[in-house]
Order: sequence, then structure tokens, then C-alpha cells
Amino acid sequence: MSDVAPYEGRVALYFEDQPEQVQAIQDWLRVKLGLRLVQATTLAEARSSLSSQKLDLIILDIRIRDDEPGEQGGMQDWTRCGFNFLKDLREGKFGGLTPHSIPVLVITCVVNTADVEEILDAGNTSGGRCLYLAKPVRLDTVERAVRYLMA
Amino acid sequence: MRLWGWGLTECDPQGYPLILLMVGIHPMSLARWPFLPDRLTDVLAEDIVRFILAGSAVRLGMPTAIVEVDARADGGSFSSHISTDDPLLNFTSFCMFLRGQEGAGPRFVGAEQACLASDGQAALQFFNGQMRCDPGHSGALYTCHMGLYNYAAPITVAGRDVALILSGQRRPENPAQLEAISSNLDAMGREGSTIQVASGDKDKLKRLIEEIPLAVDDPLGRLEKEADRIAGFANEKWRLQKREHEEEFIRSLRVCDTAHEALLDADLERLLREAAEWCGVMWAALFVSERPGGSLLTKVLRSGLELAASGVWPHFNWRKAGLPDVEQGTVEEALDIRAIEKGIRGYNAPLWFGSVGFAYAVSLATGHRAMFCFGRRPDGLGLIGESDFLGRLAHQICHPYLERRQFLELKSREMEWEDATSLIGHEVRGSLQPIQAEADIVRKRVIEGETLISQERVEQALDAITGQCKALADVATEALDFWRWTVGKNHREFKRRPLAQIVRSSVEELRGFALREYIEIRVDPSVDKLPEVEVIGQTLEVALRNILENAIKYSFDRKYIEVRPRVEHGFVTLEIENFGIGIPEEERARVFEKGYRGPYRGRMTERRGMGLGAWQAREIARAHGGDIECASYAGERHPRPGDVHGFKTVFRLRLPIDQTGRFDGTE
Repeated sequence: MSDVAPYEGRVALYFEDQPEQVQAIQDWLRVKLGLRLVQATTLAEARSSLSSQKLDLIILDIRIRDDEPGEQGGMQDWTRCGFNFLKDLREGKFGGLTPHSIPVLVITCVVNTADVEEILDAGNTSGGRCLYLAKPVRLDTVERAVRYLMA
Repeated sequence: MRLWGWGLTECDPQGYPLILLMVGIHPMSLARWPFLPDRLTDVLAEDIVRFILAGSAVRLGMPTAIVEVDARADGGSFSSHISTDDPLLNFTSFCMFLRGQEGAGPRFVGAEQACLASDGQAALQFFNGQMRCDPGHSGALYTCHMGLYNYAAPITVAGRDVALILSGQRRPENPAQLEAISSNLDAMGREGSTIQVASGDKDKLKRLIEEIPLAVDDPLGRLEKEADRIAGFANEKWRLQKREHEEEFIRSLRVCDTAHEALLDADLERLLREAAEWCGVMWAALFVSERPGGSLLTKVLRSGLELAASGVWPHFNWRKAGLPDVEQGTVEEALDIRAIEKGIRGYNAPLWFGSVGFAYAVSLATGHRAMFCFGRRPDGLGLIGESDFLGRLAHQICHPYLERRQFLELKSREMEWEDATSLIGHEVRGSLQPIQAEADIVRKRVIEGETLISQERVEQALDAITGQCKALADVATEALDFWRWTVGKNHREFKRRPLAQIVRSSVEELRGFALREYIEIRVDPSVDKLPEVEVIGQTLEVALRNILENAIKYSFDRKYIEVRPRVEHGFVTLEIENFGIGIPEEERARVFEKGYRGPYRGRMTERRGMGLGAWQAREIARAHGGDIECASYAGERHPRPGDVHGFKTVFRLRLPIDQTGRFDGTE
């Protein structure tokens, strides 16, 4: 077994609109890796986290219901909310203290091959690394993925 | 100008036509549908009439002529006189001598004009009803200005009297009548007479009286037969040309090939306009069933008719009109006025069916239905006689439209399933995620002895697993509801139930949930006075529950939800108003999209749902011939303490009171 709490003092953002999905992962990564997870359930909260602190990892869902208007003024497509967030992040649209090459772990229900490829393409650009896990996912798997991304 | 030709298929022994085969188009002046002829020569060229007339004269053995009248003029007016090219077929020797056509030059100046005037006068009297027809005959016997016996029979084309065939110049046997002819001859040339007399010729005329033949056997019956024969030619010719024009118009009508229903509707409205203009009717409208097998035809597309300033249109009830509810095959029939009265219901219905000139029902085997209505013509022309063409016209417009709608519906159903499957997959996986993760927490502690996890956290994990199991069961229920709703679309039975009971029971079911959220549901007492409505099973409860549940979820606490009814124009509107976070204007249309959910509010203890509730409520309302809309206003009455401004949000569920039931034959 690896060292306990190797990432003590490090912070990860978990952007997921359903908080009940976050709790166990949050607790496990904290006790096992010492990684502190901050939650964001909306785009506004996620952007605020990015700009207000230096993050070491982002865990991201893709299908996020958010009432923030899209680029054309109308509602954005909630099934692509997390994907658009990832693209904007890699394109450096958010600025702030967090580098746009920050590692990203996508944990999502999206299982369509084309969509997964699109996510991985978008995430593994601009020097950033991105892993994809399909829900439901084991805690050990999440832990290994986080260790890989943060190594 | 288009030429026309004809051929003889059968002749009498003298070589005159009994049956004509006519080909091509005659240069008719009939400009507007239904191309009714005003005169005989509108349909048959004058030369042809003359040729046919010669045959009639030979067969009758009597001089024969045709007088046209203008059918447009009130009571008819003299239009033209047609006779054969052969004087021997036109006149007896008496008349010929009198008219100066025997020998050189006219002996009796004005006699020919007097003769023509007499024929014209006879036609006017006949069509004005001043000439009494013989019993059992359509024609009549009359005497000309000289006192000779003549016979007249009408030529009817397209139901209109367009000419009168005259025959006769027979000598009366009655001595008094014979004496009258002599008196008429004596009067010629005297003061006041229009005919100038040449000397010595009166005596010859008096001698010629003796040579005038007596009437042949059954002269009127035989003349009527000739009139019918000419009318037969003309009618056949008229029908051929009319049919050709109609086919040409029908061929020109095309429903556009589009994947957008809005464009399809616009295209149909264009076709209705073209049809109305071509047929010269005041308007055309189409009722269409919103769903296959639906008795309610609520979609109204129209041209030239604005009888619903309020935006509320009447509807057509297939069953109440007495139309068969066929599972297989199609219905295509013209409706009688009684069926229209029974079928058109709701707002302004009497005005509608009061101005319908013709209606035609069309259905596909798939249960897609339409009712095509033509308004009346300003000239009062009845359209029932044109049901063959109007039916084909309705068919030509309705069938492609209904088939296109059916295609769009199948496509949208397919997309609906694709969306729903993806949504259900998302929800199931989403609910399994915490179960998996929390189970791992328990395993780490209990099985692997991970001391970093506390006993308390294990208990918390077990609670979370239990909660998520319930959420998963809810997903299954919601998915099943969705499946039932979409799959069962074609098999829905309507039953009459009291709306008050439906509202009350839906509210009671959610009252506990509302109270847990510190929200009171107030139901206006007038709800109890609501009439019975015809509903599909328990679906209305589902729709109301979905709206109320959303109203509770997105309300501020310590507030109330109001349920108010309103009855107008044959519809009940239930208003469900809450006070809460509101729905921004740009999102109101999306509220009814599948998968749409309002923003998460954190304090909710219940699962948030898949975002199918409002969509389903609207589907249910529409299946009942109603609809749902929502509005949201900045709430000034109850500003929430703190920095959040509240909004009043109203969902209006509109349902027809009396439109969905089966036709029971008692109305």
C-alpha cells in the first residue's frame, strides 16, 4: 500500500451537480491521500474556485444541469456542460491561479465511444493530462487514477 | 386559343349525329371554377350546334332553331338565335315566303325581324315561367306572332338552362286558330304594323296556309328528346373540360418535403389559400388530429377565416360527428351539415358550421385524421354537387400532409426514445455511483479493516446506500411511466370524471410533501363547481402531480401554492401559482423539454427527478386537447428576506370540457 496522505495540503475541485455522488470519494481521497476536495455544483462556483485558489486536480462530471445561459444567450446544452468547461479550461479561458494544463479526471455516465474520444481529445491537449472513468466507479479505481494524474 | 375536334360515332339514316365523340378543348369563356356555362355556345361551338340542329330538324321533320339565353341575367335574357345553314330545314314554305327567302328580295319588310323577335320573346317567356309547360313535359306549346303552333324545350347544361330549342311552324286544326292566322295577315301593312306589305302577296300567303303541315305525332316529346340529346353533348363536353382543368389544378398542388412541422404547416396554409381562391370560396380550413387515433381534431390550419380573435379556435370531434372509428383502412367522405354541426365544437362553433359550404373527412389507417372545410361561395352556389372534385382536392392536400406528419411523428418518437434511453442510463449510472462508492467505504472498514474510516462514517455510508436504492427505484418508476406513456399512446380510453375530485386527490397526495417543505397548498373552493371532463385513465392526476411537485420544489419555504380554476369558451383552466425562484423568460419554453430541471436548491430531501415531469404534463394536457403554459412575474408582494428576489410563477393547464367523449348518439 502506498504512503498515507501523500497529497496532504493539496486541493482538488470536484465539479458535479449531484452532491450525493461526491461524498464517499471526497472522504476516501481525504483520508487515504490527504487530498482536500472542494465541491462546485454550478459553473459559477467552479469558475470561482479556479480563480480563487491554486488547484492541483479537477474531477469533473460531463452532464451537468446548470441554468447559466450559453454563448448564444439561450440555455446551454446540459449534456455537454462539463465538456465545454474542460475545453474552455484547456484553452485558458478561465485564467486565475490554476494553470490550464491542470490534470483532469472525468467521472461521468457518458459511455458513448465517440463522446469519450472527444472528452479525451479535449482533455489531453495544452500539456494537460486527462483520464476518463465511467460511473459507477470503485474508490480504489478513483484513488489509482488520482495518484497517476498527480504523480 | 385551343382547338377542339370531334368525331361521329353514330348517325341516324340521314347522316346526322346521334352521338358525338368530342376531343380536345373548346375555347370556352368559362373562367372560374366550377366553370358553369352561361350560354350553350360557351360549351359547344356555334358551328357544331348548327350541325347538330340540322340533325334534329331532320329527325323531327319540322323546322327547328335554338335561342340562347344568358343564364347569368336574372330571369334570363335573349342572347342569340342559331339556325341551320339550310333554309329548307328552318322554315315551312309559308314562313319562307313571309320572310322573303323565297324568290328575289324581301316582300314583307320587317317580317324576318318580327319572326326572330317572336322566338326571343318565346324564350324569355319560357324562362320567366310565363309559358305553361304541358303536364309530364319539360317543354311547352305556344303560338308564334303569326298564330302558328310551335314547341319549345329547354337545353340544360351543368344544371343551368342555357338555351331553348324551338320547333314547329305547324298549322292548327282549330278553326278559330286558323282564322287568327288570316286576321294576322290582314293586319299586316295597316297602321301600327311592323311589317310592310307588298301588293298581291297576301293572297299567296293565304293560299300557303293550306300547305302548312299539321303537327306530327308527339311533337313535344320528340323535341324534348332532341333537347336532351344536345344537352347530353354539351354536358359531356363541359364535364371533359371541367375535369381537365380540375386535374390540372390538383396536379399543381404539392406539399413541401420538409422535416420541420412549422414549415409543413405554413405550406399547408398556402395550399388552403390556393384551393380557396381557385374554388372561389370565402375560406378553407383544416382540422387535424394531434395524435393518431385521437377523436379530437384540434389543430386548425386556415386561410381566409378569422373567427377567433381570442386565439381560441373551435375543434372537430370525429366521434361526435358520427364518423367511424376504424382500426384499419381509411375514411373518405363528404359530410352532411348535421355531421358538421355535431362535429365542430367549442369557441365560435356555430359561426363556423354556419358558414361551411362543404366538408370532407379524411383518415389514414394509422389513425391520423383530418377534416377539410370549404367556406361558402359569395354567389351562393351550392358545393355538394361538386363533392367529387372537392373530395379529390381534399384528398390531394390532406394525404401527403397527414403522411408527412406521421413520418415526423415517428421520427420524433424515435428521438424521444433515444433521449429517454440516454436520460435513464444517466440516472441509473448516477444513482449507482454513490452506492458503489459508499459500499467501498463499508468494505474498506469492515472487510479490509481500514482504520482511517470511522464507525460513524460506515453508518453514514449504509444510510446513503439505502437512500440511493430508493432513488434507483424512483428512476425505474419514472422510466416505466415514460414507457407506458409513449408506448400506450395509441390505446387510450377516455372516461368522464369529475375534475374537482381529480384536483383534490392530486393536491392531497402532495400535501404532506409540501408541509415538510413548509409550504401550504390552497385550493380555491370554486374547484368543487368544476364540471366533469373526459380523461384518459389517471393521467390527469399524473400531470397535476408533476406540476404541483415542481411548484413545491421551486417555492420559497413558509409560502403557499394556490390552485385556481377558470372556465371559459368550453375550456377549464387550472392555474397553479407558486412563489419562489421563478423561471427566466428565456427558459420558459425549455421548461417543457425532456431532461430540463430547475437549479438545485440544496435543501431538497427528495430525489430531483429526471426532468420528465413538465414534459409529461404537457404531453398529457395535449392528449386531452388542451395545453400547458407557464409565466413568471417579479414578485413584489412577497419579497424573500435576504438578497433573493422572489417570483410568482403560474402554470396554466387548459383542458376542454366536452370534447373527448365518445359519440353516444343522444345529442
